[in-house]
Formats: sequence, C-alpha cells, structure tokens
Amino acid sequence: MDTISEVVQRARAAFNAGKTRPLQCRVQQLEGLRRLIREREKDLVGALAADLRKNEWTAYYEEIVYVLEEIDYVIKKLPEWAADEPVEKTPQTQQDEPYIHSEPLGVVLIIGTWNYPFSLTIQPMVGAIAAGNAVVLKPSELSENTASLLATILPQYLDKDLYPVISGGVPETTEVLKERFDHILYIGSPGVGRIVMMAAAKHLTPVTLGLGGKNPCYVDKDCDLDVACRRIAWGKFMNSGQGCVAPDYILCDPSIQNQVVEKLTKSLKEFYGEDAKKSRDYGRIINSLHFQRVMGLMEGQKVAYGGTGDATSRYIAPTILVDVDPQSPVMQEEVLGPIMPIVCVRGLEEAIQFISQREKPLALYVFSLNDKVIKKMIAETSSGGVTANDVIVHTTVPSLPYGGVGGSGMGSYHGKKSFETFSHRRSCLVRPLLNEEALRARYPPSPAKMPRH
Amino acid sequence: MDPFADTLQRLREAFDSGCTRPAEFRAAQLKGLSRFLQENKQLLQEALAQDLHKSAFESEVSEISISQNEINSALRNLRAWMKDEKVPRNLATQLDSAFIRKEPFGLVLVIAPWNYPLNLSLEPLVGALAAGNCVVLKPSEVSKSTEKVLAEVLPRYLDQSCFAVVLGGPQETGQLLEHKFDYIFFTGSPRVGKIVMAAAAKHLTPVTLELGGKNPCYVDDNCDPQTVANRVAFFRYFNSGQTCVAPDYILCSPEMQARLLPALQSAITRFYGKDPQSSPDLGRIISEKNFQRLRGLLSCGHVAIGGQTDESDRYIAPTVLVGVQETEPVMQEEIFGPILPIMNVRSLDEAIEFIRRREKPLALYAFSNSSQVVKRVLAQTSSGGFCGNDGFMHMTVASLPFGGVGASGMGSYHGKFSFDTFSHHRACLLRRPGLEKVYALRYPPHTPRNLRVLLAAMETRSCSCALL
Repeated sequence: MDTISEVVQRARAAFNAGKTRPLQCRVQQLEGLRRLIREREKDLVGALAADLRKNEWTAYYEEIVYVLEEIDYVIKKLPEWAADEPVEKTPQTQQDEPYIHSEPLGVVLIIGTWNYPFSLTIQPMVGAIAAGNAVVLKPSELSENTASLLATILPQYLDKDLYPVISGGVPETTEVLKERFDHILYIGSPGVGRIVMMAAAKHLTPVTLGLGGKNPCYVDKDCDLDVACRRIAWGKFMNSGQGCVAPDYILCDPSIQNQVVEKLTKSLKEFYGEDAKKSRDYGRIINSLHFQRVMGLMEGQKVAYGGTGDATSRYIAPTILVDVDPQSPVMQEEVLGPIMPIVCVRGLEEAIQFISQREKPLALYVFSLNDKVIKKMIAETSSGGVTANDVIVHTTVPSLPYGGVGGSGMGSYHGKKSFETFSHRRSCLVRPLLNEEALRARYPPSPAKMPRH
Repeated sequence: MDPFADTLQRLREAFDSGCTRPAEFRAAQLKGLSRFLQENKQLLQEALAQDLHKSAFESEVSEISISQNEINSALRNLRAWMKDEKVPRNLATQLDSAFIRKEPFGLVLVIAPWNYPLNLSLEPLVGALAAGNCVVLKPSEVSKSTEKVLAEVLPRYLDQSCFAVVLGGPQETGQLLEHKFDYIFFTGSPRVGKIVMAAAAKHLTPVTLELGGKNPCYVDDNCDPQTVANRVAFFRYFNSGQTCVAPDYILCSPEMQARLLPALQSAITRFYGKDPQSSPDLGRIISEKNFQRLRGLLSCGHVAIGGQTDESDRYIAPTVLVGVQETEPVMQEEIFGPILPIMNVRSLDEAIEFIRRREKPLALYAFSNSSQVVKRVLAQTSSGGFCGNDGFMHMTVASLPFGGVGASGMGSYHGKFSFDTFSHHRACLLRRPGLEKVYALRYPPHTPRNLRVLLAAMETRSCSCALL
C-alpha cells in the first residue's frame, strides 16, 4: 500500500517523463474518461443513488451530461487552445516573434465535494488533463459510494501513475496538503478553503477555490410569477437543495409573498406530488450530520409549506419559510438543503442594500420583466455569476467562467477557462541574433546631453 | 493601536459609495498619475539617483517612460476594457444574452519593492485604478527617497478618498496584512511572498505574487560571442544587477566561456569605461546589508572580471565569476547584484537538465544562431517568461503577460492583463420568461418516457446537449 507521498511522487515522475506533453496522449486520456462514463454509467448512477438518491435521469442530466459535454468541447478545442498565440508587436520588436506559449503546470490536486460528487470532481479534471498536467484526485469521503467507485474505476480507464485517486477523510486530506503541487483546486466550504490556501502558501502554489455562499434570489413585483416560481422551485429543490448555485433564499415585497408561496407550492406538487417522499425524483440529505443541521434551521420559523423530515431515510420535505428574520440562523449560513426562506424587502433598493451588506455569493438571481431592474441589480451588487429570469443556467455555458468572488471563492474554470487555469501562459520573445548595430543605441554610455548627477 | 483602520475604513466607504465605477472617474485618476510623472520628473530622477544611483537614462527608460506608457495605454483602452465581453452561446442558450462583466474587487493593496521603486509602484496602481478599485499603496521603505515622493507628492494628484499611501517596515506591513483586502498585489522575494499569501488566506483574498528566482542564461557554442556579451552584460548590469528578470547566471561550454570572457570585458569597458565606479551609468547597491551579502558572494569560484568594491559608496564593479560550484552561495540564492557567474555544461542536454532540476525562474534566456536550439530550450523548460537571443525585452511588450510560475510567482499583469487581474470576471446570463415549454422537459416528474425521448433527440443530434 503506497503512502500518499509516494503516490504524489509517482505522479510527478510520470509528468516529468513527458508523458502528458503530446496532445494526442491527453486526448487519449480524455477519450478514456468518455469510455468510462459510457461503459460504467449504471455503476455511476448506482453510486449517486446510494449517496444522494439520484435516479438515472437526475444523475445523467444534472451531473454526467456536463462532464460529457466538457470532454467533447475540450477535445475539439484543444489544438486551438494549446497552440502558440502570437501577440501584437511593439515598434522595437517588429523583427521579432512575440507570443504566448501555454504549458502544463505540473501536478494538480483536485479536492472534490459531495453534492455533485461526480461532476464537481471530474469536470475540472478534464481541463487539468487537457492542459497536460498529472492530476491527483481526492474525492469527498462524504459521498462515499461515488468516492469508492471512482477509486476503483478511474485506474481502469486512465493512466494509473498520472491520475491517482486518494481515498480517505480529513487525515488523508491533511496529509496530501503537505505535499507540493503546482495548482490546487478545492471545492467546498470557506473554512476549509482557508486551510487549503494556507497549506498552498507554504509552497507558493496557486489555488482555485470554489466556495459557497447564500445565493440571493430577488423576485420583483413586475414579473411573471408563475414562470419565476416554477424555475426557482426547479433549481432550489433539485438534489434536495444541495447545490452550490441553488437559489438560497428569496427576497420579495411582502405584497407578493403569499403568491410566491402559492406558486412555489403549486410547482412543487407538480414536480414531486403531494408527498415528495414518494417521488422517485426527490433526493435525500447526504448524511445525518447535515440532516440535523438543516432540520435545525427550521426551528422557530413560520412554515408555509413542508417542514417535516425523516431521520432514518434522511428525507426533508420541500419547505418554504415566510417572514424570515434576517438575523435568524437560517439566514446566517448557506442552507444547502430543501428549505427556502423568504425575506421581505420593500423594493429593489432595499433588496440591493440587503445583498450588498452580506458576503459576495457564488450566484445571484433576479426575476423581473423590467430590464432596468435587472441592469440595476447587476450593476449594484457583486457575485460569482448571475442568471436573470432563471436559475443555475449561467454555469452550463462553456464559454462563461465558473467561479466565486470574495467569500464565495477565487479563480474560475469550465471550458477554456479550465485550460487557462491549469496552464502557465508563458510570455515568449524570440529575436534573431543579428542586427546588433540597431541595438547599439540602448547601450551605455548614455548620450552626453542627458543630465549627469 | 491600529494605524491603518481609519484609512482602510475611509477607502472602503468610498468604494461602497460607487464613486470609482464611472469611466470618467477612473480616467481622471489615470490622468492624475500622468501629471504626477510629468510635473515631477526631476524630483523623481533625483530620488532614484539617491536611492540607487540610477542614471537619468535608466530612470527615463526603466521607470518613467515605462510607467507613462502603461498610463497612456490604460487611458486609450479604458472604455474598451470596461465593456461587457459577449461570449459564444451553446445550443441551449441561443436566445439568451451571455456576457462577462468586469467588476472591481473593492479595496486593493499594492506592496512595491525597492529596485524599480517608481515603476513597480505605478504599474500595478494603473491596473488597479483602471479596474475601478480603491487602492492602498505600500511602497518599499528601503528606497527611502522614492518612498518620500510617493508618500508626499503622489496623493496630491489622486482622489484621496480612494487612494492612500501607507508607510512602514516589515512589522507595519505585517500589521497591515491582518486587515481584509479584496485583492493583494505583491512584488518581492519568495520568502515574503509566502507570508503575504498566508495572510491573504485568512481572509480568502486572491493574490498576484511577482517574485524572483535565478534566471538562467544558456549560451550555445553556435553564436557570436561579442553580440551575446553585449546583450547579456547590458541586461545583467542594468540597475547594478538589481532586476528580477536579469540574467542571473550563464550556462555554456568551457570553449564558449573562453570566447565570452574577453567579449564580456570588452562590453563592460565600452559601457562603463576603464573605471566603472566613475561611470554615471552604473548604479549602486541599495543598502549596506545587500552590499555585504553581495561582497560575500565574490569569494565563490574566482573573479575573472571586476571584483572591486567600495563600501563607502556601496559600489561593486561589474563582475564575472568562473569555476563556481553549484553548491556555493552564489548559485543558491538570487544574486540581485552586478555579479555574473558562469557555469560550464558539456551539452544542451546537460544545460536543460541543470535548469529543470531547479525552481522555475521568472525569466529564461537562450542565445544561439540556431532557432532549433532556442526552441528546444523553450520547449523543455518552464519559466515565467522567455527571451531568445536577448535579455528582458519580453517585458517591454505590453501584449505579453508579465508574471512568474512556481516559486517565481503567480498571476500576471501589464497592459490589458493588469486590468483583467484587478477585475472580477462575472459570468452573466440574461434570459426571458418566455419559451417555458422549451424548458418544460427539465422539470420532474422524470418519466422513463421523457428519458427515452431525450436520449433519442440526442442521438439524432449526435451530441450530448444539456437541455437547460
């Protein structure tokens, strides 16, 4: 049984041997990943079902498809991205070749998370492989079935030395963070994000941190409430609310609160039936600890819908809370569960103020038929990303960078951004060893007419 | 007693008020910077001369002009850089508006070093201001005269509700770093870079670190020694060697070394005269401490050219060392002085292997008539930047990002890269409430029939398109 240190050293040796430099080799690995998904889909769905009660639809359409898309997109674009990029010359460099040369960084560590345990670990891995790095994967131990499956099947489809999987929990993560990497990507909580960045600082390792936050969802009075509430309900309650870009809470005028509740409720019943526990499409909380945590957030709150849970199956009903006090616990931490608090604000200005006073979230949502409202909301707040009149979908566009800001993270990935994040863009200037006469003017002694000290 | 709390609070409040958002405000700041340079040229040249014995020529070329060019470029391009960047959409988002919005981070800290105390304060400042941030500048306390001008004169040219200069040494900087910033830009040594990044980690503050390293300079047998010597000497002894991208050491064959030595001597004499100490074009070592450190390095290997020193003047002659061992101090630390060791290698392979064994440097140089040799060095090594057949000219090209990799740093800047470094790139997707039928397939209940329909649709399109 190899130690973590030995595993990392082997990855480094494999990288140094140049195995990942030829584009064709990288593409082969990505194709291996694609084959893994196609051939082992049933096993993946099984693991995701065991961890989070996903079914073949939700596992595929909310996780697996994004990885497949990323692989296809990246394979197609790789030759273009990996090519030297000539840049604009200056007057002094007209005879020269200035360009940017993309290089792999070396050995990348990806520490995955549990809520989308397949896509949030593997999608960044696609970019890291494409950029020519060796990748050490540390999947989250909370989603233990997916972690265990990845540890088994990845070595069957990818180079074992270049792309090892490390299993384990906090002790193993602490151990692996002592090693030196050339980039660390961590997805998870701000608390652990700090620990990761501090460990990285010891080696001057750059980091990408995908953290969380409370993603506000402002529902304007002037909007199509039916559509808005349906979209919000869809994005909020998928995966039983355990999504880092799910709308965390709603901000709306008190005059429409009842309607919002009514329409959310209507959509929830359409999606999951009268009793969501019986719905095949409704997920479960990842573990008892989180179950207790999320249930606790309901305490003392006015429940407009739902509010029940079952500890044995870790089921929590889709729940809507109304007239929520901004000081209460449910508004102090990321919910990461199927509870939708509604906080009343009078108008756009108050909503903007409310949002701006808090940590910058990973995502921000605004529903309105009025473009001015949308423009103002975006202009006067900040967040990792924004979708207007829908939720989540800004994270599905490969040409948009996916990442946080402030407390919600730093750095970004997806598509070309992944390639750039996991590459070093090296500035190059190649001159001929001629034309020495032309350069003489730059050498000392400086012209006599310049002032002397 | 926290000397910084009030200043930082004031700047934060100014940022929150939104005053730095309009292009007009930012342009006004940049114009202020421009006026600062133009109206205080002599004062700045004198300060640089006092700190580093910089010649008017070096001050002009490597401090004042270079900063002015950055300001001009930012003014010219500001509105274009600020524009929302439209991005290609995929099948599912064809009807939406998708773009990247560039936003300021908020309160930015720029920590500048002493070797190019004007340029390395102003260039990051240009980027941070253009991007709409409020900025705290902490200039180096080691380059005292320039620090004074930056502290006393510069703020008069900028809106002081959005800009402040703070002063102090390592202890005060440590205190400053306990505060929360939204971005930290640091130029200095790797040792301090680690301290800065660890402090930033406590607040989850993103950083750009421009650090150093030992920049190798490979000289192939196939080249004209005099041309190479001119170029290497010029870039090595500029600012008396106190440049993060200067060639730190030469790698060449013993035969090449024999040809290079007289060529280097010839270049040095032509540049600085027979008595370099009396040349107005040669700088001085910044401090007594650094002088002592460098003087110590002179006992490594043996002196082939130069070697003279004058403590009272903090002067060290342009020096070349030969017969140096890899284990000696001159090959263990970044030299940052007018000393050039030559290490012998027997082949290009050995040179590349030597370079790869060590930390990734900020710059890497290769001299050869053969472009294949140059390209091979490039392909088989890594470094922040690279120049074939010259010294650090690559950093004068504003369309090239300037930054390190590995121990030489993270992040980059110059030109548009500065603007992008100091901006948060916010992904935006604007959708309309209509077309709900199109999205209906994504909603539960997910029937086996729906799944079959979707899989069939994908098959015909032969793509695994997401249907959001």
